[in-house]
Amino acid sequence: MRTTSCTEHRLFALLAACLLVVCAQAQQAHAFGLLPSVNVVRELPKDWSLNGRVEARERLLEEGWAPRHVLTDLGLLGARKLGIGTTVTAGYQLRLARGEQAHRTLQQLAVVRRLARFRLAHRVATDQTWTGREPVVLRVRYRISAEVPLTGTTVDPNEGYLKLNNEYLAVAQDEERGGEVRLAVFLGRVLRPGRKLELGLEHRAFTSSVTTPVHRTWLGVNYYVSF
Amino acid sequence: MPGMFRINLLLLSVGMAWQLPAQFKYEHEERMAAEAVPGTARAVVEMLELQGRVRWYREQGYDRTSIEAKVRHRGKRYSIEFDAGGRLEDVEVEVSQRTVPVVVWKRISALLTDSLGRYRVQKLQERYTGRPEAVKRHLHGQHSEDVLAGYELMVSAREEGAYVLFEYEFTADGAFVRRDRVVLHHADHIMY
Repeated sequence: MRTTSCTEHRLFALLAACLLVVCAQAQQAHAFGLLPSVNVVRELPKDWSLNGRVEARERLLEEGWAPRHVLTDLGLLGARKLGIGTTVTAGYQLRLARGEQAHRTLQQLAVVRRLARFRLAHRVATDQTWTGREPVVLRVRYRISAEVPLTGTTVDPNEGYLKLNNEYLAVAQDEERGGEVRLAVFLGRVLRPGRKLELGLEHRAFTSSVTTPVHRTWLGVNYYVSF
Repeated sequence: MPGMFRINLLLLSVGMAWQLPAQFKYEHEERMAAEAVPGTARAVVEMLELQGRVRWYREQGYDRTSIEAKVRHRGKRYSIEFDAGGRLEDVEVEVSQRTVPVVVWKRISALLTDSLGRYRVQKLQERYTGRPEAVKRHLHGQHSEDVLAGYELMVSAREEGAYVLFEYEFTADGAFVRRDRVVLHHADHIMY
């Protein structure tokens, strides 16, 4: 009889195999890097919550082994539940990249639904980014996410899950227009109530009116804290 | 038992019309292979002749263990629950509000409004109990009121300024049986 840990081990091995393939590809065609993040949610009374987030981007491979720190994002958002599975969020993010700062305001609406054997989340978001030197960058995004428990129909402490993300972004800056498609697969585990760790791959394909398509793959390591 | 995890049971006094004590509903569910299911339970599920793939789960509640078979049959989701020894406890099927008799629904909704004010029904299930043969006849169209045990609802509402989820149980004629508060799982990893 297969056990939960066997399923997780198999998925982890598959993820590692995909990682090797991506690394090999990155030497020839597109970039590969590391995307670690920590997300902390503090629940407040009357369905309010605060979300603090730190995310870094470390490029490892681009036409050869060339590790370098790309950027760090520091975000703080406030959220309010509008229903049992509906949350509206707004906040601010500071981006530190190449010795410069960029300021971003974000707004999002997320709807989480429990289906028979997994949870589905729809997220619609907009953000506006200022650097002070360039025209503001406007983005509209839609993401669909699925959390699939690896055992049972809900993810309980000490259990694993598969997370699948598919996101579409439309970007506008002055006269320039672009779009990005993101696809991510994560293997996650609830370490204990309010603590989750995920490891996965995210592929981003960006195209615009002034650049050729750019493909980047990131190894994501996410740590979530809720209290 | 591997993967077992305890939480403390809390009794809440709900400051509403009923002053109703609500327990937290706790269930830990894990898939189990059909080979590990007691033969009596497998025999009942086979006898019910429900189409669709059967998935077996072991459910650990705060004070009991049960075995559940979940199957989709003719577009509806069925949960067939057995005790740890494989004896049939009940069959639950997701239904829409339209299938509940008007008089019964009026009674249920009046009780919910009285207790919660504004509410939203997230899920509604009919519960059947009785001899497996009688339940089978009912599920395959030979309706019998004798097997209808009642209704189970998942209801969301606001309590002290926050959205909460309750599981309610009513009898077949709409009388209140029990209410449990459902522990919600964090969704930060799919929201942010």
